[in-house]
Amino acid sequence: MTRADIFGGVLLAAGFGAVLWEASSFQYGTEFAPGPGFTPVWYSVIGIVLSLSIAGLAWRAVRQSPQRESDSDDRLDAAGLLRVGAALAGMAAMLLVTSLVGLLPALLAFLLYLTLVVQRLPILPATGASLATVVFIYFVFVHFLGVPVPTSPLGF
Amino acid sequence: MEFGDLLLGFSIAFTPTNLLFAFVGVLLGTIIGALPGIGPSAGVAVLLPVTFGMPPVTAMIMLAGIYYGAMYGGTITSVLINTPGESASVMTTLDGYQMALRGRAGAALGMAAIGSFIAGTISVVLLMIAAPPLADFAVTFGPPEYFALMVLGLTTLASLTGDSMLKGLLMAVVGLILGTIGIDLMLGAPRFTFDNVHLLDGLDFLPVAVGLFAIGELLYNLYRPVRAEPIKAKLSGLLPTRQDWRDARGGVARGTAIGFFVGMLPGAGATIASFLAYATEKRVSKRPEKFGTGTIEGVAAPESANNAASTGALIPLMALGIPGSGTTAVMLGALTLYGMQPGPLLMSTHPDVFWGLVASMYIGNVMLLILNLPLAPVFASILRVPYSILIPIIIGVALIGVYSFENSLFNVGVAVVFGGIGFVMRLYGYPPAPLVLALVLGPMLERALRQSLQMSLGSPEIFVTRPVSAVILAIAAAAVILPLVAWTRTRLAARALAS
Repeated sequence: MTRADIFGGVLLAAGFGAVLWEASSFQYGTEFAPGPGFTPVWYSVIGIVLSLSIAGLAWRAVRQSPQRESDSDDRLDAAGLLRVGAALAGMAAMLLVTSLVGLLPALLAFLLYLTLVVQRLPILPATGASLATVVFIYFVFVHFLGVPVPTSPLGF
Repeated sequence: MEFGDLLLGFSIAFTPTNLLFAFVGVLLGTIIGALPGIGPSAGVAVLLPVTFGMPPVTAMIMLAGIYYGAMYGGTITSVLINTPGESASVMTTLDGYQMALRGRAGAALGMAAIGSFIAGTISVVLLMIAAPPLADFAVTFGPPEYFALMVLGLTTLASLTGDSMLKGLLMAVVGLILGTIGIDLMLGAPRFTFDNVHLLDGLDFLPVAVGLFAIGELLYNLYRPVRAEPIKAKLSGLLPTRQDWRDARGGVARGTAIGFFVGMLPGAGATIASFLAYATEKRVSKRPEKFGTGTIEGVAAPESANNAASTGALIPLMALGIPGSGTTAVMLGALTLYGMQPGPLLMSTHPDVFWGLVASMYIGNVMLLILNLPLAPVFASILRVPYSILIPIIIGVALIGVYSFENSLFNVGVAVVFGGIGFVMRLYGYPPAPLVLALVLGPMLERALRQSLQMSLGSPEIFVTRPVSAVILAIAAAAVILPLVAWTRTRLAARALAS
């Protein structure tokens, strides 16, 4: 248990609180049986108890041995987080441009971005892996399995 | 079980198409198992869309092949780079890598392949014997018994996965809440849909599973790249010597028994089985001090156990419709996608699927032995492909696979979002398997709970007055309470020692 678990536990408890708030608007029970709100209410109550337990245990652990927080293993790597954020942003951008350029071109652009910009691979393996992936996907999913992928106005 | 059923199974498994896809499944499974960072859950989830055009029995044969093939593949990385390809191979690293350092990598891989083959084959026989009577017994189960079984599956998986039981249980609760999204099946009221038409049918398990298991894991590898440098080990001498065999045969037998019975328990799975088999082997050994220095029984026992467990895990899935692990949860989802109702009636309504799968597993285990003995050096060479090259390939296939599930870009968005969530969970030690299992079981669990309470006019006593559900719930409670008791006793002992 680390300091991050304190924040994580509190954050999750807040999330379960929001779920409980929303679930309280559902019908809790009928005359003979539980209604649609019954399980979400109880799940969120259990979730709040568990997340606060995690936060509490982590808080006690941090208080008892504060030096653990200086361990390098607990520190976040900013460059690594940047790579992950950039990859997620690339996937989101791919989804946004799919309707304009088609799914396979958007995927190819994303994979080139991932390999060349995010992973900083040399140009040959990066383009090779990206192109080979899209060609493989075309043959397996589009050609062999007949999956109708969104295409661009130009038809690809 | 009747002999005719098995003959039916072999007549199905021996068709050229099913033989081909059993081979493709075990081959892909071995490769997936050999790649550090991609486990069988991710492999089955990513490749599930590829099976959509296939008959259900062929698809299940391929998916099961991936599952038990990955158990073999995980050994290669454990032995050659001291990194388990999947969690069930963690124990193999202890002695397997030490054997490789002493120039006996070939013997370690060979013994693992032979042990896995023996364990896999015996487990299929046990599966064949145990599943039909269990299914016959389960036909008498009502909603309270099913509710209790699902609670048992969730609590054991949550308690045994990851470093913290609380985090596992919390993830199961998150999965249960996600499972309530959509139209309430009993009264038709929308829940947590926020006027989004895509959410009316609920969250599909596949985008969530691919996001958490595959994309989340790949993002974690972007964050902290895998440095997989296989040691330059000779892979000759794959067949164990007479002395190796003498040393390992007890481990294979005990590993098979432990693996099968642990795998059969909802929630326990191959990882726990391999830990228990290794610990048991060390306890019964005449030279326990040698464990961790390169003993062949330290490789044979956990490898036999994880393979037997992957077959044992199919019993609750096929006989009760209750998956016991992340991978079998994905396979349960696959069964429903193919239009089948998992549960005790599956064997009578779709005997071709059950018996075809059983027969294909005999064949698949032979294929794996043939593949793994002469081709171990080829699989080992996969480790020389830089992981950075594999990341875009797996992400690309995962995203298109999710799209092809319902030809929906919304699902791709869900997978990306859960990929981000999966990364954060991985970073802070929250296990994804209980979440996926709870998402799959959630709607069934809720239906069973509400039907039970309807039967008892709202009284929860129905769960304890029926003997089967009472016993199962007591075991589930023990799965949560016993680790807490042990933890409290350890803390009290530590405090007493400190004072």
